[in-house]
Amino acid sequence: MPDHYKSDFFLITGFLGSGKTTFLRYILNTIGEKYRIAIIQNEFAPTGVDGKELKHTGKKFTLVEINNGSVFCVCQLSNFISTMEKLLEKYTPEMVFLEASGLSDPINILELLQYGNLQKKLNLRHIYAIADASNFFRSVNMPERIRHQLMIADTIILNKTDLCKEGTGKTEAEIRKLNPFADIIKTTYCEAILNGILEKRETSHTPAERFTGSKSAGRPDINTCVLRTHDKISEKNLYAFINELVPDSIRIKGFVNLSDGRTMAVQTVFEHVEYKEIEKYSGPIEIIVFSNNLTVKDVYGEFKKKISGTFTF
Amino acid sequence: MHGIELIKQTFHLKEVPRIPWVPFVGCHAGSLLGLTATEYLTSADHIVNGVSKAVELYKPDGIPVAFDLQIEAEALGCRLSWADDNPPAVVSHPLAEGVDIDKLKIPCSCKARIPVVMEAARQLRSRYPDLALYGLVTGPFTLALHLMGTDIFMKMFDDPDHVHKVMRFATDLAIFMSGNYIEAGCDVIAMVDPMTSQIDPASFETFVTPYATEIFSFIRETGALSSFFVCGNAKQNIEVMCKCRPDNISIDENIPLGYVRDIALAHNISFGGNIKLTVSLLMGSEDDSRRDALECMDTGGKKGFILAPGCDLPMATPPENIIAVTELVHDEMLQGKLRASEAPVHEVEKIDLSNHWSDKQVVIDIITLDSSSCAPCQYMVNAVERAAKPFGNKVIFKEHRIKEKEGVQMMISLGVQNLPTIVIDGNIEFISQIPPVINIESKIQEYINARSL
Repeated sequence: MPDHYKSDFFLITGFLGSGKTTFLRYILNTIGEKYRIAIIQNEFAPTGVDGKELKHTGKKFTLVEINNGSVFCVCQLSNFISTMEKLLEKYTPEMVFLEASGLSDPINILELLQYGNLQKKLNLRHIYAIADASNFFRSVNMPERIRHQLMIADTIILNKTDLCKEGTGKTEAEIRKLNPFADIIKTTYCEAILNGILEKRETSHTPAERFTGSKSAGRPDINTCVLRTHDKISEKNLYAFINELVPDSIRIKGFVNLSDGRTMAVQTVFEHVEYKEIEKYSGPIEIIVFSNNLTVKDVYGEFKKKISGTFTF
Repeated sequence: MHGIELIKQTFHLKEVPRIPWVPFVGCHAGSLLGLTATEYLTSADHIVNGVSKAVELYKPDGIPVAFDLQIEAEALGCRLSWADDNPPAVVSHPLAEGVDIDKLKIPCSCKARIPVVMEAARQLRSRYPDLALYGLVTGPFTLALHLMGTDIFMKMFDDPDHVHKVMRFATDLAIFMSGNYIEAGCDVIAMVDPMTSQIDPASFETFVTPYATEIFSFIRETGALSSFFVCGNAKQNIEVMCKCRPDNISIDENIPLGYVRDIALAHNISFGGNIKLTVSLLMGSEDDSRRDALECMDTGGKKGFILAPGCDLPMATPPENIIAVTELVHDEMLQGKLRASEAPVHEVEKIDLSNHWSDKQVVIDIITLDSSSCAPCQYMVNAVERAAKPFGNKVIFKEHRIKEKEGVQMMISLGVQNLPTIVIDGNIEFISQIPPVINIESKIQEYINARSL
């Protein structure tokens, strides 16, 4: 296949809650009408929360989810290759965006794209890592894989700078230590200036090339737990439920059907909590909780307590 | 009232307006789509389509995502033998073949067919908000059997610590699978542990109770409902099963429903079953199926009872027979009419056994449901095979499956009442419980000695 038939490939990495899906939403809103776009979302847990969020943009794009493990890990390698090949064949997208799990270790991205026929069909254009400026030092203290996300990036989008009262100087210095080659763009709500980047044809990826031959770390120690149910909860009890989980959570996101018929999108990053009422949601309650210690038992047990009436607000 | 509500009320022992109906549709749904069991059980899309077809035809209140007790074993490296008309069977037992129990790890959710069934569960959850979705996990004792083979029965005497170690691992796995099903949106977790019918209450209390109790406690703490499925003659264990504190127990036709009802309700536990899988649903008529279901409903009552087949519906069960039960469940008038009518009497023709016995050989008959689809049957046949081997051609053994007419006739002719059962030279020797191979061997030796073969 001649080179010009290759689809452009973009990797988007970043820790939990840094703004990857927001970034994609911004991309769709900015250039979604102009190109045929395919998005692959990858999560360790079996959930389609991020995909549902993107569908709410109303933009046209092809979405594929690869769950149950990182695409950078051997266990999902064949699944990734076959999914990718089918996707390219069926939809011939001009641009493919891979949104990696916030817990994944993308250190071997260059090798990943060499497998099977992928190298003939994909042209790696750019690697973005998104960093949450307001929680930067908490996230880089996480396992090494999180630092790898920053170390391989061509561009690091330092997001949520509006929440940084003390400025971003220290953070930028730390990023420079991890990756002296990347461009750093400071933004709020991931509104990066895309024009230059998306049109630019990268010929090399110096940051990632430094790690050729490195192996991706496996499943992270962080627990992921999905709450999926057709039960409904009152607004007050939803707040109480989320408040109960927040102290032990790194990240919570998803959609919650309220007893009064409305649906609420929930987003938390560490102790920062956001609720937003959304329309046209038809699925069951689905939220994913990332934490160091919460289990299925804790999350479901707490939820059932809140809806069973044994709890009074 | 929606199916899920009926089931919840029943699990909580509340009186319900209608008895809930849960057809245990496993690979039978594959036959509804014209697929083999193998094709069906290896594809999330097929499972979703098959269950959807079953929901359309059988209007259930609850339904399993899949009925396959080999999923966990496969993910742990047990080899499976696949079939067109049955779920696969486990044919290798890693712990009996040199694998160290300490080396076994809880598999990733992405291993083997775990993601297939979980994906099916998620899709079915979204599609059927009003239906109770059952996630079936392999009970720890049955998984231990898959891992160890029939050695387990000997090891329970010789090396109980080892068996406990295997049970510990199998329990962790059952909890892991339960969690996965709950996350996928299942309302009821059924721990299916048919092999527990093969042990006595004392062994059950030693090797099953602590582990099963832990699994049910985990399920309860998540707010999901739990059920303890067993098949085979587990009559002796109903009491100890209840003491493991599941929300529900489900049994097959080997145990009288009235007996189970009394014990379960005394423990404040709901119960379910026990329409006859083969004689009524598979080989009987629509009328046979309706009458059998009605008998179950009248025995079970509207408080705490879930109408269900005794076990996984055989693939070839005629859909008309299941539809007949569905109509009955939803039509009180039909129930009344049927009660008032007289049931036709079916006489099963007995087999002339005069040529069945031999002067030169000890004849062993094993009456099973079907060793290729029923784990206790499979392991009983295995045990006989191993026990008979040293005697060479002095012993001949044959399995009679009651999924076939000949099997039913043989069962009646030999006077067998429970499955599986080992009959030696016409004498019922081992009922339902699988003895250590050495016990079968010494029994065979007694026959050989008595007849000076």
